Amino acid sequence: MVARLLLALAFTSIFGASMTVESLAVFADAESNAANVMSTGSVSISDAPDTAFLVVANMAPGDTSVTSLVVSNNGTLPLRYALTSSSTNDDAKGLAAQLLLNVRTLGTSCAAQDGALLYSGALSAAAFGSVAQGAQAGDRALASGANETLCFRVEFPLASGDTFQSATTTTTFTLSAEQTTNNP
Amino acid sequence: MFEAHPEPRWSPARSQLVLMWVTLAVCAVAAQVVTVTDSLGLFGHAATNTGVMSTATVQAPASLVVVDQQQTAVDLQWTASGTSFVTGYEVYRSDTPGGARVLVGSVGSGTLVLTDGTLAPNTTYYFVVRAIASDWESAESMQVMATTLP
Repeated sequence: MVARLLLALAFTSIFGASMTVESLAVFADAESNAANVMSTGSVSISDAPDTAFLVVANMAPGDTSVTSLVVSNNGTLPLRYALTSSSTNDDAKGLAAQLLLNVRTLGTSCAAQDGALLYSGALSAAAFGSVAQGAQAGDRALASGANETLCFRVEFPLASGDTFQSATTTTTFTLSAEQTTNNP
Repeated sequence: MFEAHPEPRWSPARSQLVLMWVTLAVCAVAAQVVTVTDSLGLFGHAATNTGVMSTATVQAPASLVVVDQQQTAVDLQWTASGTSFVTGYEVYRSDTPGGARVLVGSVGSGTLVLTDGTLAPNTTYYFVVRAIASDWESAESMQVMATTLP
């Protein structure tokens, strides 16, 4: 009985040892592929001049002023943008609602005022396009690296009453851009 | 037999477990927030610019003076307003200093004199002049006094 037990142990040891050798003897190989780079694009809009571009002082009834603003896509993705504005009056005279603003694309020249009309109305409500996500009516599209010139014409109506003397308004124009890729 | 040893109520193991669950809960909430942000998180950018617009002030004419006084008339003269788009001037008269104004007359922007010939003898009057620019008018000039001859 003892001899059978020893024989069994010996057999198991030898067989087990051979199995261990087998498990370490599997052929293996590995191959790597480096330098796989993924990066995201960017949406970046800028305007020039980057200082106040629409400064008109000492306006008299009937005066008009035309100036331009260059909008650029500095990002790597195409974008669409909308314009919104916010006006504050430095007094109680309400000049922002009295001034008339036209925004056009550049035609022959800003002075010619023959570009496409993007906005026409009171300065206080100046806007085109929509900041809502996705393509909206009036949005402007710009390819990466592209730019366009917008022409702003401000008119102080001739019939402006005496109450608009010595009035001042400040308007902040905001150009809000979003990606157009995967964003219909 | 094994003796039952109740686990301490706040053993290190339990505190770690609680900490783990709290961490998971926070991560879950954070993931929800990120998800919400992602749904609106398309790439975007904005630029701003400013416009400042102001209107002119019609400057009042200066140096109003009485250049001649008669029994029933007074000649007035002034210097031009500094406002370029002035279209004319209006002269007003009152019987008392700062009293109710009566329009004496108006002249074009190129004229800086006016005669009031509707006065009574030996009477004192007070005059001011304003610049007019379309629908706008300036403040009053300094007031001058004139007394007609007896």
